[in-house]
Amino acid sequence: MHDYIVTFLTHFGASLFLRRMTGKFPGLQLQPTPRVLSASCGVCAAFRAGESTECDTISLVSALAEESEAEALYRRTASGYDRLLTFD
Amino acid sequence: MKSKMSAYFPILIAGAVTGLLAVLLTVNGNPANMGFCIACFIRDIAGGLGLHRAPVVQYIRPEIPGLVLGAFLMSLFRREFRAQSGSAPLTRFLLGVFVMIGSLVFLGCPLRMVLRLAGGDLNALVGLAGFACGVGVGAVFLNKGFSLRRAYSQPRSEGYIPAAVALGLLALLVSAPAFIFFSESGPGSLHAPIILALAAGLAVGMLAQYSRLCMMGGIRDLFLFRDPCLISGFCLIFLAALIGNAVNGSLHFSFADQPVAHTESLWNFLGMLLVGLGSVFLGGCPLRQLILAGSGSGDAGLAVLGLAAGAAFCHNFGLASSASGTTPAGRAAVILGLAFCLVVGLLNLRKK
Repeated sequence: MHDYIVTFLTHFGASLFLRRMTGKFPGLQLQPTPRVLSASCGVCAAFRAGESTECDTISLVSALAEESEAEALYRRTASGYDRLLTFD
Repeated sequence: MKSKMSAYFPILIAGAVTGLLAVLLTVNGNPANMGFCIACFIRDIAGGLGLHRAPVVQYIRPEIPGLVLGAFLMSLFRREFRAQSGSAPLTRFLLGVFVMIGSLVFLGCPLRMVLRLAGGDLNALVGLAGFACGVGVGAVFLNKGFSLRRAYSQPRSEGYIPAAVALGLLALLVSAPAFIFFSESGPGSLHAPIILALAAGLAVGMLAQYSRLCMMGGIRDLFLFRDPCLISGFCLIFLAALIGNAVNGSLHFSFADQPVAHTESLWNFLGMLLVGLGSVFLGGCPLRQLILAGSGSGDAGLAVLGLAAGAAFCHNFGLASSASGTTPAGRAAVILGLAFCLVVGLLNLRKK
């Protein structure tokens, strides 16, 4: 399993993402965006997903990216975060 | 554990340094319990530029340009400078106006509220309760779908404007042309040396950009996520200033006879309620608006212009409080501001 984070341009987008994706990702929750990912004190969505399903994860997040005003998708690594996709 | 420590370290350092610098500025000439006050200092700058004619609060405070330039330099250094705007600009301008009105009815922004508390001013406890309630109401709006919508990228030159204006203000302060006003008595006449005030502003601006120091964000994160990281910065501001004031002999616990403060609890509460609610809608307290403006946000820049316009309205229309208390016009303006915020909140709810 990997830890993922989606950052958003608005608080509303993060709330919408949470509502639409609840049940699709284990442990999905909103939290303050880690400082290392953003200078703004916004909100991000954090969840876990299996490595084998990373393509599905990217597809699901991408499908909702425009409506949820998503900014980027990151995967947590031992040394920080890898940016997988930028939406904006 | 290590990552948690690294998340807290910058904000704790930023808080401690801000609190100590606030006391240092007070010792070196700034008004008591006013080492930093974003609302009061923008009000003084508005007076210095002649936007209002209250003779006791006119001085181009170098701390404000210092904060903007510090954030500007740090955002460039960290490659985080982004020229963006377009998120409900006029709404943000008017929210800035009303945040200033709430601040000047209470007599201080959220940062000065903490510094007043650290000086023993118990009226600030009432203000803190009002501010927290305002943030709480704002958090309910956020959960219901409130949004002023996203900002969009702008030409990089657009993002440089706040820093250019800050340099212009410093030039006016140093050159002191005849059309710039300088108070000869009252709070506006009390100030630290320019170099010290500018250096303090630069340092806090850099640290605030690096750490995301924000009083509203701290309470919001506590309410929404039970996350105490951001609020720990303000706890350190309080502790550092409290210790500094105790060492300096300027710690006096009371409601009455506090410097640049009044004891009308209802209006201290409602003034800061307005500031808290308006700050949630703006996405940050007045300090944070300055930092975001320096980092390239045109929307935050407009909010700061709203704060300056609000300061001019406060003194031109008799809205600002004084040590003797609030004014009827100021009380009416706070009610109007709360009504405005509720309308803005309801009109900007989006369906999830």
